[in-house]
Amino acid sequence: MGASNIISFVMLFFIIIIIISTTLMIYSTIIQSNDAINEKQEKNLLMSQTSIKITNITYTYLEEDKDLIEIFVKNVGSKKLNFDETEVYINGIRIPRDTNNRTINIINENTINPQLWDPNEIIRIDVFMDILDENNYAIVSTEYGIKHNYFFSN
Amino acid sequence: MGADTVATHLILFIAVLAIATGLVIGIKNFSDNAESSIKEKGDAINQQIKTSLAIEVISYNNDSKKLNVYARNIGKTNLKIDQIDIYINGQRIPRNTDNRTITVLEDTTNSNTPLVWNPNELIEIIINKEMDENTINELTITTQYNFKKTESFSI
Repeated sequence: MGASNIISFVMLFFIIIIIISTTLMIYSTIIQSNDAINEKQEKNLLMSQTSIKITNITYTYLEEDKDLIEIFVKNVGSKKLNFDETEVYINGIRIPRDTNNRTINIINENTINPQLWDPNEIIRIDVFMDILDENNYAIVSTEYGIKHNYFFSN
Repeated sequence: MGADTVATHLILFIAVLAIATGLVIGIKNFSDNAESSIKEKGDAINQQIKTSLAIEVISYNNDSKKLNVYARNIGKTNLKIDQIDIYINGQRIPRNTDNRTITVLEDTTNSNTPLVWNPNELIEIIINKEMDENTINELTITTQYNFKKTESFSI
């Protein structure tokens, strides 16, 4: 075998190595993108399976500068929700997540998972704030950004 | 074989070797550049796909002329709040506190990174802007990974 043949083989070997490494890198990038797309699909599925509905709101005058707004919300989707991550807004004002401002309880007696808001379960959100307007609205949102709004008057 | 022929073959051999080496180096450089740009683009697309946010509430205070927006990070990326841009009816709100403030709400976070909007956390955006009544407006939020969310509202 002549020297030029050996050189040709060496060159060919390097070119093949380059092609293989490039192909592997492109493949790993495609796999990563595929994972990201799968995650996105899972997220979209979670969102499509999540649905809540405010069934009723009652208003009670407690004392000056403090009213009680009871919001009843049903999990009408098929996903279990974490009610600690539920947000409540009254007339566009966010109610902070502390017991002075709001409390959330599942009202079903036979709850499946006491710490979770299971499908078909209803939670009662008690909001303590002063409402000045006659016509008001409440928005409740879940951890997946799914929300429902409801108009009520005091 | 005469000395002339040997010399010719040697020169030819060196020339072929030089051309082949140049060719391999050229292919290697091209391959490296292609690799890094594909990886960069791939990473950017991955981050964009993994980013998602939900605008929960938009409310306007007529007295203070401030627009309050609450948004939730429902994606899987950590977002820098100083790289968020806000547009109202296509008009960009400049990134300074006279025009807008963005705060990660403390009761929604467990981390000590007030400038990072982590998954499941809520931010409050306050925009100082006088809005016209009885018009339909459009609010757009964009993030560092080219993800944007638009929501209509009226006051």
